[in-house]
Amino acid sequence: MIIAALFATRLTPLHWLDTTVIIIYFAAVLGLGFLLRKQTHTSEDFFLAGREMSAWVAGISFLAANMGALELMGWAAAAYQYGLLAAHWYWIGAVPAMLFLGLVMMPFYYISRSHSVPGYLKLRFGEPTRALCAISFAGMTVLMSGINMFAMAKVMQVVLGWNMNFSILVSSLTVAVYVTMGGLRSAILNEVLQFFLIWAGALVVPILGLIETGGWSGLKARILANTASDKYLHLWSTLGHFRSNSMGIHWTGIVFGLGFVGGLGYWTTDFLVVQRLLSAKDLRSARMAPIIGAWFKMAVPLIVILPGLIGLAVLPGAGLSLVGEGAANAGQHTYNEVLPLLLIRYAGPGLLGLGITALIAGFMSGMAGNVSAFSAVWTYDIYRPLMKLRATDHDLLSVGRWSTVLGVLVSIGTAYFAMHFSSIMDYVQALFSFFVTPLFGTVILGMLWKRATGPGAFWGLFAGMGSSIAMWAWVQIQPSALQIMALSNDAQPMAENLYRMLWSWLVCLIVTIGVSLFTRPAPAEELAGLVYGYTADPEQKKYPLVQQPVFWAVSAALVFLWLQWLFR
Amino acid sequence: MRKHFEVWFYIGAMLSLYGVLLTGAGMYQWKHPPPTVLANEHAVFWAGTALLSIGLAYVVAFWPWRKAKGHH
Repeated sequence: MIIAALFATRLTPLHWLDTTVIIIYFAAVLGLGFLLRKQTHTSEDFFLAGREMSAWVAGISFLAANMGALELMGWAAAAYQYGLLAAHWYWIGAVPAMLFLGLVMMPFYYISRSHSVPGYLKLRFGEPTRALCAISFAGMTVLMSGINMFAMAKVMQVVLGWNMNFSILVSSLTVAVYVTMGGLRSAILNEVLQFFLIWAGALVVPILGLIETGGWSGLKARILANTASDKYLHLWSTLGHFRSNSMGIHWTGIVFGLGFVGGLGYWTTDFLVVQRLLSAKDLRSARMAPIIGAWFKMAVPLIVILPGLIGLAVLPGAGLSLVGEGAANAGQHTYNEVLPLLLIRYAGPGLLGLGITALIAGFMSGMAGNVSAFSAVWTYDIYRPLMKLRATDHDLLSVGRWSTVLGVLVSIGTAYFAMHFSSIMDYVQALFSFFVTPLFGTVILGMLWKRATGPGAFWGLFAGMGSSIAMWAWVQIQPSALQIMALSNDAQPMAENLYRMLWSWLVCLIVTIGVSLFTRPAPAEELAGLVYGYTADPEQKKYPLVQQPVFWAVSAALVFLWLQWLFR
Repeated sequence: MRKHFEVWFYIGAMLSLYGVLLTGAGMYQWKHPPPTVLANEHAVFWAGTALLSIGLAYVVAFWPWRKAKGHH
């Protein structure tokens, strides 16, 4: 009776082989946590994986920690809704930022030996800036973790008919167990495993989708026939005006809002991803890791954006026309279901289980990433400085384990909170613009401008966050304010997020610079290893050219530019 | 065995296990195709053999006990 209620409505029945594949996955991630529990003796083991990860492991986990709800479900849905434009969030919204992180910013994080991004701000600007950053980041991570849980539970409900409470409980308990046992090492190594499974399970859709549509040219022809427009098939050529593309956006928003502020903000200052790089065994590995991540990131649209386009090409012919979350009537499917629908279309027993495992792996890696980052920031940047100044290493390890459980419990609460938002994407983009983009202003000035001061950084960050929340509230109360923010009467909601990021970053920058000019700068000896001009790069010349980060970063940049030209 | 846990070996073993399962299922489905689009392409079988090949390559390349012998 209870089991029957759990599996009441679903898109497809699950074969025993699919169930076996899913059970093996859960056993494998828990087994990995169990095997790693004995290697976690100190707080540095727990929070920074002992700083012994290779560039490949750190780079893959850097990327996998981000492959949560947004990556797999949200952007496949966005590609169905907006076409190829959604690929900007993978390419210009990520690749330049990753390369910049590897080449320019990583030495400051790594050489300073800080445990976290707020920890770097403590060294550079003092306690108030660290506290503001740590508290806002801790809040953001549990909210993001909750959205991951909610998205996974939603998929399981739609595809398999699983009860949402059951899905949330099983997935969160699994993550809590393996992260509590092995700390960041367990989270990172599980993310590497999950990364492989995501690719193994998700590749079936683009391969069979391209076979069905007759390759890329056949796919384009079908989309043209189904939509009567070619605006779904271009990256850049429709961005000259807000009205000429499906997103209602302008190229300035993509380049400056997404590429410059949003991408750099997320990939270089969000501790969720930066924590993976701090676990690298040496500076060269820490610099190579985001560059390796950039190469993989350029390929991720194959398993996310391409399925969205395939959905646009083949689903209407099968009598399926997807609609937005709020517009779906009974029996109608939404944009968010495009990936599960395609999996069911192409994947037979066994392969369907692997595809669903890929989705679960994506959600769990995102959740574990948030929870492990929350635990580190809570312990190092809130508990130790604000609650117990003389905490021993044993105390920190113990608090780290308890805060992992606490993070998961709070995330469960936020998962239910997220259910009240009509659009997951709005929720996530709003969170990023509130906290991450102003923080990028503070960190980049801290690293590159020696004149920036502690009071300047604190008030700049405070003003950036406050202005972002105020702009969001303004548009909520008065929707026409969007046209003022995006500087056009034709701007659509997607443009709002990008311009809000840009303005809040500028507010942070201007206030930081203004206050810094009127306050006393830190003496030069306090800035060693923290600021450009006072930080030596000890390892740069020890390797031949093909082993240097700059070689692979330039190569990645060339491939990135080629992709922009190819799909222009 | 190495001091540190060898994640690549673990991944190889996991992919191999999935490979065996999917190859077996694919062989069965060759005769009894599932009601999916393009079932005649035998995606389950080919995915299984690909996973098994990659998995075994990782298992062999990162076999932890062989490395331990080398160290001694």
